[in-house]
Amino acid sequence: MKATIKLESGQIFSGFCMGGMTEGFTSGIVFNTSMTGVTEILTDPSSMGQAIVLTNPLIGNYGVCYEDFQSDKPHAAALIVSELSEIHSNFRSEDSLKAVLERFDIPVITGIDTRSLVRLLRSRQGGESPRTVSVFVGDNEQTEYPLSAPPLSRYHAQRRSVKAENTIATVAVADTGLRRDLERMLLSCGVSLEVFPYGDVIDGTYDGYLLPGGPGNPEDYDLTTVKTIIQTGKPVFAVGLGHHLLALANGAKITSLSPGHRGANIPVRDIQTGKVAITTQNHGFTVDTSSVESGIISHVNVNDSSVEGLSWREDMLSVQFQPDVETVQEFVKILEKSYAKR
Amino acid sequence: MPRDNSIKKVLVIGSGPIVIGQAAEFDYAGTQCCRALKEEGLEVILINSNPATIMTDKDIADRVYIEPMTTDTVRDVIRKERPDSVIGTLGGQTGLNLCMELAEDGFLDAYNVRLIGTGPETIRKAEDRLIFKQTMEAIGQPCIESIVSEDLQGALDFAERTGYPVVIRPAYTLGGAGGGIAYDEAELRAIASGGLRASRVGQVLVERCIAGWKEVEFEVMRDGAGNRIAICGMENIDPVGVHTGDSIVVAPTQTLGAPEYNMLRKASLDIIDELGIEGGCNVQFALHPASFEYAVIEVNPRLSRSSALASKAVGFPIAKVATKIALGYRLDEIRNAVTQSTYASFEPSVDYCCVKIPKWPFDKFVTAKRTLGTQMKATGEVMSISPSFEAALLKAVRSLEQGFDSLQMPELAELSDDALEERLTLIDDRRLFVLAEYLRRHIAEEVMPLLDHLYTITKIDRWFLSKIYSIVRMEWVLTRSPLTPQLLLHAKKLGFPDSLIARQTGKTERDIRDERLSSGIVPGYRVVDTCAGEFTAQTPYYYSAYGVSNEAPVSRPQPSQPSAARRVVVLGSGPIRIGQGIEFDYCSVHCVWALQNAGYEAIIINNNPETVSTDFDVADRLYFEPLTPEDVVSILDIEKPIGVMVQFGGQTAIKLAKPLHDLGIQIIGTPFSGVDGAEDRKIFDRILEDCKIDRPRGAAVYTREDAVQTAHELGYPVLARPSYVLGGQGMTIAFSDEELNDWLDNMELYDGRPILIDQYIMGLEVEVDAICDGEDVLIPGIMEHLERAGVHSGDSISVYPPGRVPEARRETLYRYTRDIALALGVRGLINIQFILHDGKVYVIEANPRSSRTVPYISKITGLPVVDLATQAALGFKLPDLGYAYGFYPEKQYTAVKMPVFSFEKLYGAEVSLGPEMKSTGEVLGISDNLPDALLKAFIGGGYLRSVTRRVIMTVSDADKVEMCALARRFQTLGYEIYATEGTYAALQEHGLRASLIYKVEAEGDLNILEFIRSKGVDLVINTSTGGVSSRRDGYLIRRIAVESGIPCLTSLDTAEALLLSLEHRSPGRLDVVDIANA
Repeated sequence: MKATIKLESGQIFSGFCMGGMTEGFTSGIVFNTSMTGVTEILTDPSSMGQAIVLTNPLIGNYGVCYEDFQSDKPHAAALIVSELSEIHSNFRSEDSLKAVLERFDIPVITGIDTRSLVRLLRSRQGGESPRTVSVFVGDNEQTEYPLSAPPLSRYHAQRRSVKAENTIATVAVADTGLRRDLERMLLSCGVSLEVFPYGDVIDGTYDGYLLPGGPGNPEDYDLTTVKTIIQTGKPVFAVGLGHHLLALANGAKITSLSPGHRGANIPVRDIQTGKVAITTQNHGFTVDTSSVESGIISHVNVNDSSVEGLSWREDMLSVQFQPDVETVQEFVKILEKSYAKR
Repeated sequence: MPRDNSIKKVLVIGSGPIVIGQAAEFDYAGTQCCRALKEEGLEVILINSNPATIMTDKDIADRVYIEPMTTDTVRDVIRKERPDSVIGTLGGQTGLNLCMELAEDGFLDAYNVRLIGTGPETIRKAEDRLIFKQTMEAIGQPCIESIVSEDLQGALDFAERTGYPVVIRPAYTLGGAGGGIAYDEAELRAIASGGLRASRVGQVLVERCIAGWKEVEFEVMRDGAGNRIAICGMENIDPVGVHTGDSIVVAPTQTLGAPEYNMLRKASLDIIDELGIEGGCNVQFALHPASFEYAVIEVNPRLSRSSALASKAVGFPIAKVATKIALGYRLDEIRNAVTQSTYASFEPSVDYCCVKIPKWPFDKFVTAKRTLGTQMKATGEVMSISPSFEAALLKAVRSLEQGFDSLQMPELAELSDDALEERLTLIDDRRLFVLAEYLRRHIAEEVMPLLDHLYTITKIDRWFLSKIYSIVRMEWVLTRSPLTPQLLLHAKKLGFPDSLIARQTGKTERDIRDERLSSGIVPGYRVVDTCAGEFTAQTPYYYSAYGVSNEAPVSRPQPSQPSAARRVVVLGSGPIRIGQGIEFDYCSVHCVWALQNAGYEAIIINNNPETVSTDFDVADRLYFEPLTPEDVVSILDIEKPIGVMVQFGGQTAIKLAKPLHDLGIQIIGTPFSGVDGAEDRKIFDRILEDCKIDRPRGAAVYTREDAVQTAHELGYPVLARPSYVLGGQGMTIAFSDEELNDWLDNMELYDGRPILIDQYIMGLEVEVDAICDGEDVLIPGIMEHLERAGVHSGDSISVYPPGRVPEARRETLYRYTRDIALALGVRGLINIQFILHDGKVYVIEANPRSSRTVPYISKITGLPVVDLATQAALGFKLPDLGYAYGFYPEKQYTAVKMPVFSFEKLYGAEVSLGPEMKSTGEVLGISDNLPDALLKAFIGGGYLRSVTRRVIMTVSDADKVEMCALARRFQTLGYEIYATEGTYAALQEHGLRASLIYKVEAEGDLNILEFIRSKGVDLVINTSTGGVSSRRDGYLIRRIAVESGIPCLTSLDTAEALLLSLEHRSPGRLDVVDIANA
């Protein structure tokens, strides 16, 4: 069906909409500059409630492999692309992206001049979605759906236990939207996980605590859980949204980023080593530099100098980016040290 | 880590002449490097033997040595200049090897010269096969398993261990003779035992066969602090088996899922970490199409052709950043020149795709084998950018200038279905078109089985095949559906040119353009910004796309605009090919600079990713687009320039003069009538007649009968050629009706265009480039060709100043040049070729455009030729610019331009020189005397081998007497002469000692081919003889010589020049000349 994206400033983008746009549909709109990994982006709980514009124009070429899901299903509200591949070709591909989106009832708008749309979205000032973006669907543009709704979404996790082979420590997760790649990395390091839906009471008996990423505005979250975890005095590792929640619980301020850090090419400098790593990120907020002591800043963004990592205590680390194996191992070392002390 | 302040004076080593496998990309890299060094205020010393390059300009480096690329020269330059540092990773394999030799023998240490950037230890680790393999194994990076075996059992054991299929390559055989792929034990037994016999040393290399795997490359960078970034991942459409330089390549990768992509990206970063790269590096992988298994094919610890491609594909200046890293900077200290707001430690993200297609020379070398394999054959390449893969592919096809505007190749339409099916298995330059033809014939069938079938045969990923299908399907839809604006837009989004849409719909191109414009279907121009639109880009680097908004600044001409806003479009020269090389990029870039200096906005259009002209900071705006009338006009519609410069981009640009002129677009400088007047036989004849200038008599003919009759009237030999061609393409000298008819048989290609038949005069050939301002001309200098007329000017040794042109003739040359230039209305450059014979001066041809000698003559005379020509084109007069008319004062030294060939890379290509150009590059030799200048040029061109001091002579009967005189001189120099029967007899007759060597078919060690193969000689002199069998023998002798790396001269004039240089060779060193300050 014909779809037209309109911005309040008057710009119009025409394309086609497949599926999913039903009454009550609402979402935020963001763009992601990653050149691969569409499955991972769609299924990242942090993407919940967002219509995602991909800057890579050729999407779906290698299809979908369910193993790449970062949670049990896609969470994005909609996908906006230039071209969705007609065929999918890859030895791991189990389905076409189109079929997967259909199955999970996620609308996809194709044929959009995504670069021009991104150029308009990038210039937004002062917040996540201050400007009205709407999509009109149907030949006569009969139905209007807002694409710039505030991010209210919450990820609903299940209580579960995941055991690592040769467990060296057990970590409790206050799950706001744990990605499977982080889960797998921890497991492969011998860390077992006790996963609680965020907000559930977690006691102080675990070897450490994990505050993972997730969707929405950090300021909308109740911080009781985070504060309880801090008070245990056990090692804490926080990522993405968890990094923001930890900062808020420690009294720091959060500001929204315009247009957000969403991509696989974001340079982050480790203050201690001076080394720069290229990171993957998917969020729209950052810790206000002036609200934290400069001594605890462990990582900064090379491009915009924003805070990327904080070392609140020797055993309380948080990073805004999706951690690589090395960063995870650092946390595992802390767990081991803390375990040895006991 | 800020800049290392102990670095003050840096030696940059270039890559030498353009040969297949090492082309313009190193001019781009070297130029960017020198500019980055100068930006830091450092003193730059440059060595490169290639005078056609921009990097050898005096504005680029402080001291410029256009000298042979040998360790002796580099030593001399280091002794003279005493630099504190040297960069060797920007000059291709040549530069790298030179640096390594000097590092390893202790010379650099002795002179306190540091090899900055990637150091010698790292280079050794990457370059030495064994150490490399061990290093990779140590960090768990798989290489392709292989062994060297001297017996069958070893090969069998290996295959047992790794599994079949395996590749068998006998050691030391030519063109892979005796090798093959074995799929089971029986095949291995057969092939390996044959291979062991074929190998001179009784060795075969047995390697695990990975043909059909995906080939993926990563361009990565690392700084001295260990920060690493991946600039670009590229995927070859052609799977492993075709050299990456001969593969169609897409960037970014398209068929790799995130896990595979991340796996290979991480592997490349781990590899450069382990190697300790400080700068740029290229890592090539083979990836199994159905698993995560991969192997490292190769690592290049330097800037490479792929780096240039990656730079242009993502807009990241790899050479500049590599240079800054060599100076000590960290990636996060170097600004991203495109965004200005981010840093170099940021991985580019792109929102389009790029397609590279190689440009092969098979149109020039009709006898060369067109199959593609592990030996690269392309001379150049084109790149295109589009958000749609189909459009990028079609744009690249158009940019090749092969006469195709689509995937339709008429010769394939004539094949039977069976023949076409057969062609699917053949991997050559036409495979893309064969696939399209196959899909075209099966378009009504279900798509997936078709793709499966093609995948099974070609192992080209189905996704790429589906894109070819998508193009063919649109061709089909256009033939049967009404052309609605929606359909038209859809076709344009897929990259269909108006001409193709017109052909499919039975309309005219003009109709399509009108329909397009009336529906508002015009391309928008998007910016290449390294960041997929995330940040504002400062850099004016554009590509077109349909159905997108335009980001290029649309011109709104106002009469009151200041001069700074006046825009001029410069047309570039497209891909590097034989006959149109890097020289024209030199001219285009200088034209841009001259325009900017004159206060104009200069806009360049080009599609060659290897060149300086497509560097984003050269012109005010760069459009990376095909150079066809439609693509150019679409840009002009946006830019609305005051005019277009067509005279600096070679034949590519001048060819556009007519269509642009027809559309009423202003050509700056020489008007279209002048271009046409030089090309149109009748008009040009009339001009010469009016000016009372002689030319070889001849006529333009359209039929075979007329051709033969004209030849009879003129008398043989005659020079026959098609009109409107480049580099003597298709040109021949015919000595008889039979030869003329033979040639005419191959001329269907030029159907409908006249053929020119001229009297062939064997005199002294000279050429001039001249700048004409409409009043008179300035001639920088006369270039004299050492070979007699008949050898293409681009393949001749060219000497400045001329030694054999009498004073009186010079006056004639000046008058003729002036009269012709004025008669054609030239404003800017003209190149005229003359023959001096029997006291008369004949004009062979005139081209009112820049020529391939312009950089050479500019450098040796110090005259800014392109700058002056640009100003003349703009309407300035030479005297107002401070230059007098007539000849520019001659320099006190002699400069020799020597052609360089790539015959060894082109299996089957004819080596003998003639009227059709064959050289791929050139070197300069410069000295205060001719013999030394020649000697330097011969050394630089790789013609001097002094191992055995033996020379083989086998010449035609007509050349025998002259040959004897040369033989005597060779003997005086201490050479032993070997000769075949006829030549041997002639030598005996003249009382010369010689050893008889047996003909091609003879058995034994003294068989001429065996003798050459065993490298028993330093030189082969062979001139073409009549008769079918001796012609075939001569061909074989020449082929074997070039394939064995033995210089082969096919003109006695060249041999005499070589003698002259050797006879005057002085025992002392040749002095190196700094041409920037000479």
